[in-house]
Amino acid sequence: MRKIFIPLALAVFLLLSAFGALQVARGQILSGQNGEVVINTESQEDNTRQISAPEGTLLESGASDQPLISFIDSPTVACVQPDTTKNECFINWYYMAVSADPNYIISMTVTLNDFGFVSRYNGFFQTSMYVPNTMNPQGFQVLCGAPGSSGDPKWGKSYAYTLRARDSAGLKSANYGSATCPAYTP
Amino acid sequence: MSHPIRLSLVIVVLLAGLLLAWGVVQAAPALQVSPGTSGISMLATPTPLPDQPAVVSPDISFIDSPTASCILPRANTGVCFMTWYYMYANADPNYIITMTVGIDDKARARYNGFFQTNMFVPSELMVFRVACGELGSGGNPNLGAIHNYVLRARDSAGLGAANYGTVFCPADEPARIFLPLLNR
Repeated sequence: MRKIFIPLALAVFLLLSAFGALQVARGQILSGQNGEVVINTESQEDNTRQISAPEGTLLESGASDQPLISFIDSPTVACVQPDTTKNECFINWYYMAVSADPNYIISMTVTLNDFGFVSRYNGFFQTSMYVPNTMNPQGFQVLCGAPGSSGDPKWGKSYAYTLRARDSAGLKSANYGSATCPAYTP
Repeated sequence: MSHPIRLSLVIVVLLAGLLLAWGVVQAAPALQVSPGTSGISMLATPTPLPDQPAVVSPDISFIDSPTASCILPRANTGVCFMTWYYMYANADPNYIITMTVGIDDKARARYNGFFQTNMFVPSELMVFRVACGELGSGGNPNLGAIHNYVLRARDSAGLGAANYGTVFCPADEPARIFLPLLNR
């Protein structure tokens, strides 16, 4: 019995050491900046969507890794030039929607990276939030830009944007993308 | 090498093998590829070949763009607005990348997809100022200018769809204000 006990103990010790080292490495990968842990992320061309949580809220509590906040649904980002005689374009979304059930949605924000925050929608005892395009009348005005200013000679300027939502459990959801506008040719 | 060390190495190898097998089994479902991402699943079961030759059919739909309109909200301004009831395209299971509106050979709007297999653009996001034109300028004696439009859609598989059409506008011109000629 003693013959097998020492090798077995040694084997368990070695495996535990290796497992511990892997956990440390995994924690370093998942931890983002500012103590945030990225739970889920997807990318497609220029678009990225991400769900994050404060470090320790999910993984250390033993709760499921499944986030309660959803990705922000923000289809069809539009950049429209209503009048060709003006260097004025308008960015808008078909709608923006996010759910945090059973937690409350605290806020959702729109940031045009060149300008900063352009809107903030506050939750009021609500577990989901839906923002139709009509709540941003006409949209957010930007300069259309000269032809080729986004790199594509057929189009004008391109604007990077960030949509963020936060729920009452501290979970966050973010969409990163860009809107390309028609060019203004005086 | 002494016997206990040799035995412990054997046990380590056995346990590590079991852990590796468990890890592989756990990882297999995560290797499913979502639309728009590229990846090779070595563990997935190969898709069986179709029994019949595959029919070549595009994944992207025609663009549905009913009721192209040109309206004159205020007379004597010469300003008309072109719009559609809506614009819709479906590329399922691929993603829609962009839809664009061009009027009279000029790009007027671009709609970018965001992880979506179809795109619906409501009329509120499609309002374009155009010139109404004088009576008969488009070839119809009862109407004003004629405007050509092109709607395009493109999906993540590289497929494209396009609608080409024309719209007549009501005739209208800016009001001319005749000031009285005053002699000193």
